[in-house]
Amino acid sequence: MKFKRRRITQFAALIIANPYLIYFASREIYQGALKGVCFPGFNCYACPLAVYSCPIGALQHSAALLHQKVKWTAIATLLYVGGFIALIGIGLGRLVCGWFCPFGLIQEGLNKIPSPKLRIPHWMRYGKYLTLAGLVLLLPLLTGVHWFSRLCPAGALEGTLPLEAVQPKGGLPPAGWFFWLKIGILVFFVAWMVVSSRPFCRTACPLGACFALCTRFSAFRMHVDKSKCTECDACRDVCPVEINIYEDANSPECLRCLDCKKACPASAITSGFKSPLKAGSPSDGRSGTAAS
Amino acid sequence: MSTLTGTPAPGQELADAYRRKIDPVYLVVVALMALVVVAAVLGGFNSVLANGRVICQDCIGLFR
Repeated sequence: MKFKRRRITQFAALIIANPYLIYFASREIYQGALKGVCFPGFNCYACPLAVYSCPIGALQHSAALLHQKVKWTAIATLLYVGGFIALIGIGLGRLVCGWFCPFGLIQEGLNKIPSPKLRIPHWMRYGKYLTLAGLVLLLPLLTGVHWFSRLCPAGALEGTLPLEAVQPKGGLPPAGWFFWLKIGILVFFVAWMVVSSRPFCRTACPLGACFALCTRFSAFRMHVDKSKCTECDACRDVCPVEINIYEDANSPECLRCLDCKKACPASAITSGFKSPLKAGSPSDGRSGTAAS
Repeated sequence: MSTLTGTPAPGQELADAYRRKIDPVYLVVVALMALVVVAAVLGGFNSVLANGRVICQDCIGLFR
């Protein structure tokens, strides 16, 4: 079986984010210093094997601290987590989504299950920005509760189910109706992942929304050479988010999986690290000079 | 430029070369790195660490 370089990177990121096998012996989650560092992908820190914090969980935590009027700590946390997300966004943009996100890997795996495939309407992409603004920032700020975490399907899959299967010392509280709501949301997304490509990333992921907002300024850029492109749509056929890369090479929706680059029969698509200021118009990657 | 001779003022060529070399994007990256480090030292790191050390009850949908 031949594995793609991207797939190997995704599995490596999954293992780097979740290496704490000691949990099975100690039945205590990792509590070392790495938990003060956010993982750049979407990985639940309630997962018994996780050693890093979830950036979205940490972002909500800072908003909830602001509600509790722990002003100084809240501002330091907000700047620490927000600065980290912006740094990754400016440096790599959604390359993280395509190559390093453990939840993205799970979605791609589920989408391999043979089934009729459904397209996702374009307007649904705005859902992730609403999730970021409403559930991650505004509601925790107003109520002090981590609303996104309470509904997060990644938390249910990577946190709830493994912890229920291998319970920590002292056990877990009994399941209430919120538990079943969370499981229901997970079941909905899992079913959607089977029939559509990366639905969570495209419609609901607040971390993807953060990186999408940085894409226009990201140092990692795509480029389509207009003189070579025949608009044959081979790129669109392999694109997990169903976009025409030749229309907008640096679209915020592009996950930078680079599958289009390999599929292009004319080798018109290139990618690499290049200053957005030197890559031509930010709205049209075709006008810039080729990178790598 | 020297207004009298039209030749570059002392150090002007060097300043122009630096301006061409250093991209504002790299300055933004360095500024963000500095921000993250300072915010981490001022309590951001400890706050995230304390939050991550306990099993997130919200994440697992079970509330005490």
